[in-house]
Amino acid sequence: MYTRNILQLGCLIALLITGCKSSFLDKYPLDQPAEDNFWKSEDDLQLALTGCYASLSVNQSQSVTEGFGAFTMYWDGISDNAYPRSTSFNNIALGQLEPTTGGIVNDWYNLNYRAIASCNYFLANADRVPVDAATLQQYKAEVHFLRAYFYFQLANIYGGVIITLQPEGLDYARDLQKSPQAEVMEQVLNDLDTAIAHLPDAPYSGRAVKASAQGLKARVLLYNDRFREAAATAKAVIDGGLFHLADEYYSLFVKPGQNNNPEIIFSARYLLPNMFSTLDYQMGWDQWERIQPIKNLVDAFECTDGKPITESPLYDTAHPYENRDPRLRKTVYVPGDPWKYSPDGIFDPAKDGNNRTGFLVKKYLDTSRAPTNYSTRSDQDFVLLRYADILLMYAEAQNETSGPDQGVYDAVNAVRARQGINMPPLPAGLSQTEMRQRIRRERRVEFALEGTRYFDLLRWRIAKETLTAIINPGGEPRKFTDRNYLWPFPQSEVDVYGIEQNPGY
Amino acid sequence: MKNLISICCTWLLLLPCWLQAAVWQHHNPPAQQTPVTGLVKDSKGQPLPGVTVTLANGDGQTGTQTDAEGSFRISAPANGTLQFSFIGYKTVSMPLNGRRQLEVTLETAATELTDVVVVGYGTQKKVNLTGAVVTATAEELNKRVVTNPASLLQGRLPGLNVVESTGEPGNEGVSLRVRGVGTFSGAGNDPLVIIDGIPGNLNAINPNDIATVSVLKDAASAAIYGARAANGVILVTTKKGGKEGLHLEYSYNLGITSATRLPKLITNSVEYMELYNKALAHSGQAPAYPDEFIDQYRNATDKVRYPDVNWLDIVFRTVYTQNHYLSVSGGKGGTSYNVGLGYIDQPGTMMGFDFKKYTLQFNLNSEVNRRLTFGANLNFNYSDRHYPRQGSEDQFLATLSQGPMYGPIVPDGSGHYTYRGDPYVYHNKNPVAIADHVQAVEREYYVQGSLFATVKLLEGLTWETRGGFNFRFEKIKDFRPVLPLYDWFTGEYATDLDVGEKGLQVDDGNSIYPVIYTQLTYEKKLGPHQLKVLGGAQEEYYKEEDLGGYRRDFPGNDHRELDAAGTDGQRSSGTAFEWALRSFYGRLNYDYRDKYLFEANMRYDGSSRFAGDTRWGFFPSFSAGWRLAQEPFLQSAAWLNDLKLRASWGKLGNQNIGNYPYQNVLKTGTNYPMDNSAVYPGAQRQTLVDEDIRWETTRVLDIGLDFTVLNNRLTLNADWYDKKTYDILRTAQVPGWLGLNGPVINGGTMRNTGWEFGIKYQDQMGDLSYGAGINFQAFKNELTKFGAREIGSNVIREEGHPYNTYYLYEVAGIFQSEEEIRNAPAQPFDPKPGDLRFRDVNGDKVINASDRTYADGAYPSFTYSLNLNAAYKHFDLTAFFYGVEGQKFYVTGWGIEPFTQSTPPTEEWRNAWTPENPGASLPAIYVSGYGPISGMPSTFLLRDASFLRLKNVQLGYSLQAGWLQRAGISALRIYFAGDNLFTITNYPSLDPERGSSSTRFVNYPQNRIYSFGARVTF
Repeated sequence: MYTRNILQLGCLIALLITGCKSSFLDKYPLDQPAEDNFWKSEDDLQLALTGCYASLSVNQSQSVTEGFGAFTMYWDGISDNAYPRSTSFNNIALGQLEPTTGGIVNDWYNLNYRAIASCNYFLANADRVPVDAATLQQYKAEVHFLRAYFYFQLANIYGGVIITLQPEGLDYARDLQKSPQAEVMEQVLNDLDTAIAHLPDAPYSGRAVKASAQGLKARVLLYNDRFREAAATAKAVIDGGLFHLADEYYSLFVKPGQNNNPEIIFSARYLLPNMFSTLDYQMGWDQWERIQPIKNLVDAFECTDGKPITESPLYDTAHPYENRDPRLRKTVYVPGDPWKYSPDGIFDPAKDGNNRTGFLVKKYLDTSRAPTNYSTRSDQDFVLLRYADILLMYAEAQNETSGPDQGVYDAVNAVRARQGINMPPLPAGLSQTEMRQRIRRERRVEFALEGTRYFDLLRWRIAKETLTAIINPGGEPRKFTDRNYLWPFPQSEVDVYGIEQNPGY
Repeated sequence: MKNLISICCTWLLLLPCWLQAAVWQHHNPPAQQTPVTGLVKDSKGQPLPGVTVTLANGDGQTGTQTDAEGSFRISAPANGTLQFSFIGYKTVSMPLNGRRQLEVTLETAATELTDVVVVGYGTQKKVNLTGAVVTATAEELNKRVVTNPASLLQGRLPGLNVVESTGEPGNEGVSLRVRGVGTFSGAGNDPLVIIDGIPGNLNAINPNDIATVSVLKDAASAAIYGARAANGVILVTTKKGGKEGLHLEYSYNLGITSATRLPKLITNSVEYMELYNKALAHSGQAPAYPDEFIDQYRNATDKVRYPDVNWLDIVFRTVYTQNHYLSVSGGKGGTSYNVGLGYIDQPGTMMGFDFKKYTLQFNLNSEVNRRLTFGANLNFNYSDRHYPRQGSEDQFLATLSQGPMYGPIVPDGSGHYTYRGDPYVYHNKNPVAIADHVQAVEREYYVQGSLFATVKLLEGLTWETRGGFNFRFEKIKDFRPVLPLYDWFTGEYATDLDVGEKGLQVDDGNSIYPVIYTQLTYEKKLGPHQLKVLGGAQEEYYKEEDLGGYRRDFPGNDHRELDAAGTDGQRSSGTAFEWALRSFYGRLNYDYRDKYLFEANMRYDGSSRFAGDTRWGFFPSFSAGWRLAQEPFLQSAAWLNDLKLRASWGKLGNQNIGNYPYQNVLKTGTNYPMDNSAVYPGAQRQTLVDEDIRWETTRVLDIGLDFTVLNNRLTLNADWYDKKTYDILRTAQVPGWLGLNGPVINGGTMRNTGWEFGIKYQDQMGDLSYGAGINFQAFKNELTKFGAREIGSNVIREEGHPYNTYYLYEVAGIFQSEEEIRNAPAQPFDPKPGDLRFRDVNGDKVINASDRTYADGAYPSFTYSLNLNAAYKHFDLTAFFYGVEGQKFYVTGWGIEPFTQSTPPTEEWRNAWTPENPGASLPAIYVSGYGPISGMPSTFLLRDASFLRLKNVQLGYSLQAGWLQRAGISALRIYFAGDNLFTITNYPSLDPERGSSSTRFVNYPQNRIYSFGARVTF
């Protein structure tokens, strides 16, 4: 009796353990698509395209944000515009720009290549998807544009880098050398030409359009001192007529003004409720104040008569912020300003434990969200290219090509006279050099805190003299040496791959 | 909920009373006493002096000892029973039956030698062990009264290193390491824990339910667990049923608990502000506090409005920990049972922390007939943990960050919480408001249950099958209310409390983990040859599912469920994963005349984490032992009880990495608003995959010695080992330009060599028995193969060095003058006199990244413990010391660096460097973040955390008196105990016993406990 029961039990257990199918050990991910089953439908194509764009707006949930997407403003922290309350950026400002500095030194390299990898993956596989040729061509053109954008970011900081245009695997090339900066720029321009040829000639509403690629191309050419081509490319956007200056300067920086704004040509995008950044509280709230504009920037804004504060009779040291270029008070909070981010309601640097410079960021803050706290979600798109930049790039390139002709004046004056700003036109009869200085100042105030100043200083080769004149709020002088015009590659890339380090590091 | 708890408590307290009624017995009055004399000898006929002779069932007071000739004299009733006990001998009970003269022979007890220990899938006589196994019993472990069983193992078992990372109730973060850190892979270093035969969770059981713990340290003993055993195996058995009848035991403990060590901060408001201004000045910044403000405090008569607050006194407190435990055990016929019921209530010494744990253990064993035994083990655990949502580190640093010039509640009598009473510098959030109102609640239900059947098929052939499961359900509710804060001086509304993102986050997680194994054991003795063979198969499967939801805008703070809030900005998340293992295992034991011992183990494991071709791994081990004491040439050595040499070699596996590491998948969630109306889902290929990965393997060589002498008074166990882990499953180092995460590959080798020993001495002198034990362990870790070095912010991973060796700038002193600075190598920042001088390691006259250098202290040089015990009549005393030598921690921020987020400096900063005090050991007082001192990770913040502490001391009194028996109580024990009463250390301010996962100095301190307890046996 027992023996029989035991035998039955034994059979049951034997069946359980050995009788099960071998599939007992085959387990597959339950929430992620497998690569083998991908690239089958237009949905897949759309998923992968979105994945390429996603690299622009590193989401707040990801740990790396400083210097990217909504936090592109950090780059102003190592320029003469602002002071960064960020260890990695502040170390760089103080001259600790080493292969082992970490933070942005690693992130800039790795994240741009990550973005490039998703572009390469898209371009290598998109043709496998059965979809109409026009759609496919447009999608691919967008990805070519994005890849150009990311390579351009690398080349600006590191000079020559390794170029890869295919999805990489375990069998990646062990002996690939970095290409000279000029070759990288050539690759960028090739991608941009492909993009220009196939992108829709349409206003911008979130995805790259023809003008986005043209504008970026103008910037690439300008950064490489190819002024004649740069002027022509910028002119093509102006002549295209699809874009013009915004009616309200501040609408460029907050929603809903940013939506379908005729001035914005390309941006890193966010959308509430779920695709958001923490921009408002990181910049505005008295507990954070991550980027703090410095007096050097404030002093760069002219008085309303179009003269610098050193010359203008309108400048009153007792009321230094009156009679100034209206863009100043749209860019920076000055002491005494009504300020909803602290309980007092008034910005007083002496009573603000975190404020070190006496000024606060205003540009990009959506004041309707103040007072802020950790629940505050921000959806401001960070503008990466806008029509004012096209105008000033045209002016700069044209001035370098043929001196300050009427076209140069028209372009700069258009920006100065923009609605609500109404700064007087530049005086006639400026020399080419004087015009160059005017354009540089105009770029600085127009694009202050938009993340472009540091790159401008690099390409004009004036970073060293400009930055070493700045003293940090702690009394420490900024440092910048000749080697810093190119950044070091992260030490890990030297250790793991043996990439040739940039000179001086 | 509170009501329910108090009902439970009452019930727990009353239960023994009415149960005792059930076992009430009638007792006879004491009989007439008559004198009895006698002689006690050992088995060789030699008289034994010092043997304790007592009257069994007496009041415990009547007793004597044999004299130098082994004779004794005692008064006893004619029908009484005498009990003879002596250390190292079996206790003998002898009924008098009217006799007045006795001759008694005591036999060697050799308890150590005949002990049976639990090993993988079976038991083994301790003398016949060839692998490195250490054991501890419930009695040894439960000297300390703690709520987490893992903590009890500390210092008890040589080779097992136990670190209690914090004193936070229910979240002690106990890390268990068997013989060092074995690997740097994601597979981790946690040993496998087996409870009653199936993988389980040590935290989920009540310490009182534990019967024995064995730690399998070497490959020989652990290889039968193959794939899971690389970090060692901890086997726990729970208490089984006992004798016939019903046995009831109740114990209670009350612990008066406070923090062991807290920083001594400068809490005089005026001194704080003046020092702050001074530190700012040294750090190149403008003073923060105007003189008028400081003067308000200096001249204040109103100490309520202008106080000197020590926030640590407010946030840290003395609390009462309560521990109730009731067990019912017994049996009838072939069936026995044990039921344990426990309740632990442990508030935190830091405000806002609270932990309650309810446990039920049920064990049943039934010999159905002479062939079939059937049984069940069931463990149920419910725990309820409250904690400030950002955890103890955040709560601690928020406390330290406060200035002494204001308190947590505004002084206007409104009871409002303070926003801040200091407009000049930034302080972290009000920790008292957080503790009172922003607690997250974690509730966990955990069940482990298994059934087993053992069948004796033939003589010597046994078939055992066990099937069971773990089920866990966990719910975390984290409600972040809107709480207004008010200005200290004006009493007006200032802002809302910083609670992170307001709203309610709810997370549910559950997992199911069924395990089944079946095995055959065959034992045969053929003359001098003894053979034992075991073979079995096992399957296990794990699936976890998680679901989370969040809503933001609640109309008030009263309704704390998701549906109470609007849907704007809501979020949800959910995922699941699974893995499976299938295994075959076996063991062969052979011994010849109990003298030559041999054992072989093997396990063949298949894991779902690897692809078909590399899925299966084979893990063999071999070990041998030679009991020299059994050899004829040592038989005559009477002092020698046992001497055994052991050696073993074997391989173990590890597969505890991701769940699908070999499969190519795309990362979803890389979304983007492609237009103005919607966020589109996106996907990226982010990670490379190596489809050929296989098991990570650990090879262990162990040589050991067991030694018992002097009538079993002195025992020694010592082991030396060499443990090498290779094919480590780690993320490959790939160049950044690939733009992809490196694949998980097999690469890298790590080695630990070390030794450990335990010595125990136990003796008796008359009524006094006493003993001492020392455990010692030391190991060296080395990364033998790694690839390119990796440098973290303060550690380096490089071949030839211990894993994660500290890698820091070295402080060479304090700059005394401008001239010294000018002549020194160029420092990275611009120092002033009073700042740190860094050593120019490579001699190039410039201090930069290449001057960082190795510093030791990543692992302790050794850890040790000392146990002392003594018993005299009804009293017993034990003391347990535990020490760690050579461990260092790199610690930063609040509490160690002055004015980190405005944290008041500790008192030692009064003696910081000044031009008048050039010999100071601390640099000039500065504000954290000041480049020349804290701009770079340096040895300034690497602190020696060696310590020796009195971990536990206990004084007990046991009673078996007649008057108790008449009250139905067969035994009573009361005790006083102390935990962490004193510590010897050079570590600054806080408890040196801490985890190393965070470099923040703040760490929830350990608990100092004065406890009182009682155990009643009915």
